[in-house]
Amino acid sequence: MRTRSKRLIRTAPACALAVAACLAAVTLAAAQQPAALAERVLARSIQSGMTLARYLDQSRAEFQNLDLDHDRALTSADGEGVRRRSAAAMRAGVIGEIMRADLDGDGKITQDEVVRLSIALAGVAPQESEENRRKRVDDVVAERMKPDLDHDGVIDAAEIIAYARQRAGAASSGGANAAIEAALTFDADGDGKVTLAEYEAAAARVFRAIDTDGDGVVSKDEIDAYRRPAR
Amino acid sequence: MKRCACLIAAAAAALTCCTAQAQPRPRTDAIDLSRAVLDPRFMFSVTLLPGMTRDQFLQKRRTEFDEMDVNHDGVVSSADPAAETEIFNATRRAGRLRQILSADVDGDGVVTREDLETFLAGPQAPLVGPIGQVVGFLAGPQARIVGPGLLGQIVGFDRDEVMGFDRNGDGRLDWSELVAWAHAGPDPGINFAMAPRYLVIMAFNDDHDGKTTWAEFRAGVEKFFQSVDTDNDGTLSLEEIEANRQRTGYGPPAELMRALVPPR
Repeated sequence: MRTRSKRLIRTAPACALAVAACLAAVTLAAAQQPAALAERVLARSIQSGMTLARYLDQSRAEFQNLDLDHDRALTSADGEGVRRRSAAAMRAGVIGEIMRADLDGDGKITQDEVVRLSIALAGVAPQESEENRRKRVDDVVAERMKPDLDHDGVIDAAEIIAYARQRAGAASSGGANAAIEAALTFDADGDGKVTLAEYEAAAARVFRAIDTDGDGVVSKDEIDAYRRPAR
Repeated sequence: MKRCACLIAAAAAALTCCTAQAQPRPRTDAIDLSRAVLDPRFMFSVTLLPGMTRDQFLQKRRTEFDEMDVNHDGVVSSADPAAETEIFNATRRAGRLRQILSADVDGDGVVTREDLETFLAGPQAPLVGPIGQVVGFLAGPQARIVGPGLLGQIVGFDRDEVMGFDRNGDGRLDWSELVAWAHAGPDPGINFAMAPRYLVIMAFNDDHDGKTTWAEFRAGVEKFFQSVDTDNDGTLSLEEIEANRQRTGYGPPAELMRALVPPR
């Protein structure tokens, strides 16, 4: 349990960077050829062995998930809803990480709690010097005390909420935003709404583009070939 | 052999006792694990493999000791499982806060009945990644096959259950009410993955002060290694491990070892 969370802490910044890098790449590519990019986003959920019928079933489920207001069309209102939800999830994630230090469960965090958690999370690396271990603990403590905006040694609810807004505002959010933004480009008749028919037409187009041998089933090789960056 | 069975039974009884005591906020510091021990030969024996040297075996136990010494005071005592349990439960509460706050779309740290209704009307299973970002939404049938772990966790809860924590009935859950909700729910109380390991380490307490030092643990570990390494060459052979199994009843059977370590 502890080992896994340790690993998570170490990899989280790397993940955030990777996500940011992907988004940067995606944004750049979007400026060049939006339609093709949107189809690539759609194609992320296709799996080898899928038939067109199976893929369309899945696309319908995706459509329903993105249609937050259940008006059977994807509109900018759904885009806004998805963005708000994913921003809320980002903030919730930041708060969850901060609150792991609330060891006594009183809803606020003291420096002492942060130190105790950090010592446990840092552990001891094999053959590590005591000095090095201390430095690692100090780094974790410093990082975890950042929400203490007024530097009084206690992180209270207001600081936790403010810090989460700050952090989530600075970071880019993940895949759900890309999915709705891609979906909104499939507005074939330009009426500002993407209907299920329009969404399915795009999905079918993607399927046919991937199924290059036209046997009605997408293989792993076909998917890999499609996903390979175009030269 | 009979004695070992007794010890294991005692340990199991102690664990049951701990669970029975678990309240919404368990007083885990009251659990005295130093009185209940598991036969260490069991835990040590299952890690034996042919070709393992004394240094490798010691290093493994050292790593274990450091991991168990959660508060890093140089000894493993009841304070460590208490600290471990405290962190375990805090992490669980933090996970619950993360779930409920996913519904706080305006980010003011307050979840209203309306926030919950909007959230639950949308896709019920946003897929949350390791740093809390939503990486996608899953539809019903797919939601079942993705559990916590690699991809993240499924968010979902019941509106009426949550609003039951609106103590002052204003239709809003403020921070203290959200924290109260985080405390609710099945409380694991004790990390069962860790408990047996503490029971083993507590066996190495020669001076009966309730604290196991690395020196005490190391002495026991070396004695055990020597009892298996009968030709005293510092490396365990398949035959020695098999003989240990015949003697103590613990450890991997020869055919399993042969499967795990191909003969050189």
